[in-house]
Amino acid sequence: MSRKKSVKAIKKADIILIAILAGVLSGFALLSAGRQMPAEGKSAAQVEITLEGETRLYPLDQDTQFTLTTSSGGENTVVIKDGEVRVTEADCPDRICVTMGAISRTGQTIVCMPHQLVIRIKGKDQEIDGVAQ
Amino acid sequence: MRDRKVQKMVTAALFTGAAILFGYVETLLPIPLPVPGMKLGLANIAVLAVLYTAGPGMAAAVDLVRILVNGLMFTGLYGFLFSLAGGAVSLLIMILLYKCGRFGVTGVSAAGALAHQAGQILVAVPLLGSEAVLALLPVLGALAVGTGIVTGLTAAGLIRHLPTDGKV
Repeated sequence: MSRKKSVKAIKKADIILIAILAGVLSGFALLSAGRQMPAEGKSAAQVEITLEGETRLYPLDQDTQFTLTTSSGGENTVVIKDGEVRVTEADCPDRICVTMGAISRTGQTIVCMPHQLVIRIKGKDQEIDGVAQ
Repeated sequence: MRDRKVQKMVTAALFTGAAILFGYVETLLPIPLPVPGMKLGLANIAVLAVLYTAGPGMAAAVDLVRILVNGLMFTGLYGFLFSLAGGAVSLLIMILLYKCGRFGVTGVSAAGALAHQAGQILVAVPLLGSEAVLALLPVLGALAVGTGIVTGLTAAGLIRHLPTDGKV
């Protein structure tokens, strides 16, 4: 047996570190919340769907429903209804996209990492907003 | 000399096996988590244990082999790329904080868990062709810090019962 070296489970520095991490994350959260705004004049707002690097646009004010299929056969069902977008069904392992619920504000996103899918609401003020590609 | 080499190999193999198993068991447990897809990061318990008992080199080796084997057996190419990015960033941060010596297992684990999440999200930006994924960071990051604290405390409990020279 070797000598016992004391391994501290938790030190004062840990608490400070965790507090800093929490602070930085809250800052990020505020920042991304600040970017979102009600999609005013919803006629101008568009739903930008990026699937495996390819982007398509749909109007937010036209109710529709369709299923996206990835090159590997994965499926996500997207529903645009009453100015809201949601993923209602998906066969990805984690189904984060489904639990993210509906989005309706400019800058909000739904992401399905396994299927390389990003759904985002773009407003007409996109350029001014500066959420540049 | 030869015995030491063999011993090192056996230790590495043992911990790698444990890390892979932890990761696998986690996918089987129906633990109710607030966000599906969120993981407890149990495999990091094994990685932390190696880091504290056998040092950074062994920890890096164990984690990389774990990610490779997981990729081959369960997660596929994209999953592999995600976990490789997460694993590499997380390892780097954990080794730095460990070397620095001021932090306990919990701090190292929490920072490592966050780094893992951040690494995955950063690699997702080019893979998904959209920087919109960054918006996930606050929520997933906060959850990662939380689970990192839990796995850190668990790992600390384990490490206390292991000899510190990597001999199991």
